[in-house]
Amino acid sequence: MFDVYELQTRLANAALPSGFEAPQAKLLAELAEPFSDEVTIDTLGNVVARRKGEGTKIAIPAHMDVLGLLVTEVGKDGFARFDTIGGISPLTLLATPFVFENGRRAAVRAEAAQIEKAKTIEDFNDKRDMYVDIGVIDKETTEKYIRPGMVAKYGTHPTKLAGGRILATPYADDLICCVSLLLALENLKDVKPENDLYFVFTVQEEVGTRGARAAAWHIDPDVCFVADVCDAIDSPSAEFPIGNGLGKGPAIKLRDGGALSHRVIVDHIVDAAEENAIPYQYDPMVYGGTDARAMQHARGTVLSSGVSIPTRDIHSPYEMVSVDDVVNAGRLIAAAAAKKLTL
Amino acid sequence: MTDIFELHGRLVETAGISGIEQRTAKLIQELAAPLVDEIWTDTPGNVITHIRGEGKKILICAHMDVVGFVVRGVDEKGFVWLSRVGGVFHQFCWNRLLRFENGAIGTLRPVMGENREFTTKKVSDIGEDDYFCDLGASSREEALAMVSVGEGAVWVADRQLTEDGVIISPYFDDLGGCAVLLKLLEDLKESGNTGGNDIYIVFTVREEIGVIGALVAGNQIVPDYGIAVDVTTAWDSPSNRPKYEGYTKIGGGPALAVRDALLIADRRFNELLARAADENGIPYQRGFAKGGTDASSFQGVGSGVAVTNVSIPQRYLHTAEEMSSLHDAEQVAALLKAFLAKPLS
Repeated sequence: MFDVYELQTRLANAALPSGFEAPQAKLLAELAEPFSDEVTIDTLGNVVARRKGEGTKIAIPAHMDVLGLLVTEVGKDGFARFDTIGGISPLTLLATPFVFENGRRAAVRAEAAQIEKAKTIEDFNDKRDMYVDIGVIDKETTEKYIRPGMVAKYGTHPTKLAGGRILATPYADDLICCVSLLLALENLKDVKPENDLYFVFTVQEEVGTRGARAAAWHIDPDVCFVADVCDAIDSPSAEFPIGNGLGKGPAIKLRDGGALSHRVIVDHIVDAAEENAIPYQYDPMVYGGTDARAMQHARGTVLSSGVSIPTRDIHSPYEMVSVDDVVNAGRLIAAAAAKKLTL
Repeated sequence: MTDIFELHGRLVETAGISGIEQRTAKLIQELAAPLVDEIWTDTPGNVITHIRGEGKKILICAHMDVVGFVVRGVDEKGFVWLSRVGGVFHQFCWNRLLRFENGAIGTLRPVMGENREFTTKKVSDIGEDDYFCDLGASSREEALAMVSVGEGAVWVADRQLTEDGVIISPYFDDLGGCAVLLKLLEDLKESGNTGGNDIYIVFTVREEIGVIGALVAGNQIVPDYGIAVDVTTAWDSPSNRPKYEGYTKIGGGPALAVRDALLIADRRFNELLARAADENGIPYQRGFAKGGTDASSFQGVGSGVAVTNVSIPQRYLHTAEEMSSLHDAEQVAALLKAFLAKPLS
């Protein structure tokens, strides 16, 4: 039996940022293999796990890439300059430990001059005024460990809170949905699905849903159930006009910043939840896009909706989810995927 | 042989904010007791060790307390609101795990998350109402079963000793200094060579909120000489770099204080230390710290004490990624050992 905390920990430990997903791709392929008819990895690096069936062709993407830093230069003084991979705000950059792919831990700090002149946090937005410190002695020692092109990720770890009911973790976005896909595959182990299923662990979502577009091209699905995180607005750090709470069930996608869900698909997932007594909410996300957009735009029309996991503090190094929501997302994806979907 | 990095790690496990040093004190007491002639804990909680000698009385101290937070209250949804203790920078103190006194764990988060009004808020206006701790509790009752008002909290963060000997860790200020003094006690015990000096090595409390413990220790001991072993500002990164050479840097050896915010160090005393360093091939530099240290608080006891700091240079003080050199810390212990081996006059 898959355990949510254990899977998330293994994935978070393995994961590297967008464009560098090979380690987590290998791990996901291994984990999915016993529950799949076939697992393939395409040119871009998307991992496709198939459960073959006769019916509607459904792609179920969750992205396996994560946010991070890319070193662009090691300065004369030994301090490295960087750019971000994906959307990391200065609020997070300057307050988060990072770890490089070789295990070296690092802190991001701002130039003295920048600190003096910055009036608001927004003024920190220029990454030319920030640097990465790996415990720099001088340029020579830095260059033994860090060179341009290397990537770093959040140096935090999945942590159980509130007696294990809640998980605070780096990269819930979207590794926790990779976990829910694995749970769904496990749930479908002894089930003969009435649709033709393609579970896709996609690459490069955080830099513009690039992997899903390629995957949609070669899979050519009829339908897409996207599995991604959506905003939980039940803490002081979120004031979005709409959103969900932790522990109230996975959220069935109505829309996001890049795709409107199709009524037939939404109803299908709602029916699957009702029939299996799985608690659910709706995800009416306004901000941000998901792989659903890329799949819709890739070829002919793909009808989409999805199963989202409400998450506090998305893109922070401690995103927070309810373990029950993850388990129920796995159940809901499995139920909706197995249930005959007629267009 | 005591490994300072490993010992610091054990001390970090016990870390408590000013006033909550008891767990650290207990560990230090256990470790130091076999190494000294007498040891006691005074009213505020300083752990005072004594190695008897006929000569001059010298007090060497490092502080056990760390900066952190204390619970101000819990709101109706179960989120914990905090008040800082010591010189935590409100700006960018978040994105950490907090560990409360009784072991509860939560995340420290900025109120405005990633997207909102915070981005136009003045950096200097960020304060205690702009961050909170999320225990994952779903109600005030559940949260209050985990933490109570007035309870202290410290950061939990990974530690790393790099291949170049740099320690990246929270709370090297000044649990690193405590580890150095424990190492010194061990070295003195081993060599048995204390120059006939009357040595008090003291682990102080409540430094971060106004160098309070050290004053009490100074009053009891009334030493002739006093040294605080603490961290000092390293001026060697883009965030904190003067335009001229000669600044204090990590890896450059112990820093003999010229001054800090509360102290002008005794120059003759510094020269004695510098001579001991030279004679033993120990590199040293000069220190100009932004903050204050324990040395200032016992400078004025009795008829006056010759004081200085022998410090470990550090980047990013009072953050969860303080950076210091293990080599510097070892050299502080070596310098003090060499210095104490000769009678002071």
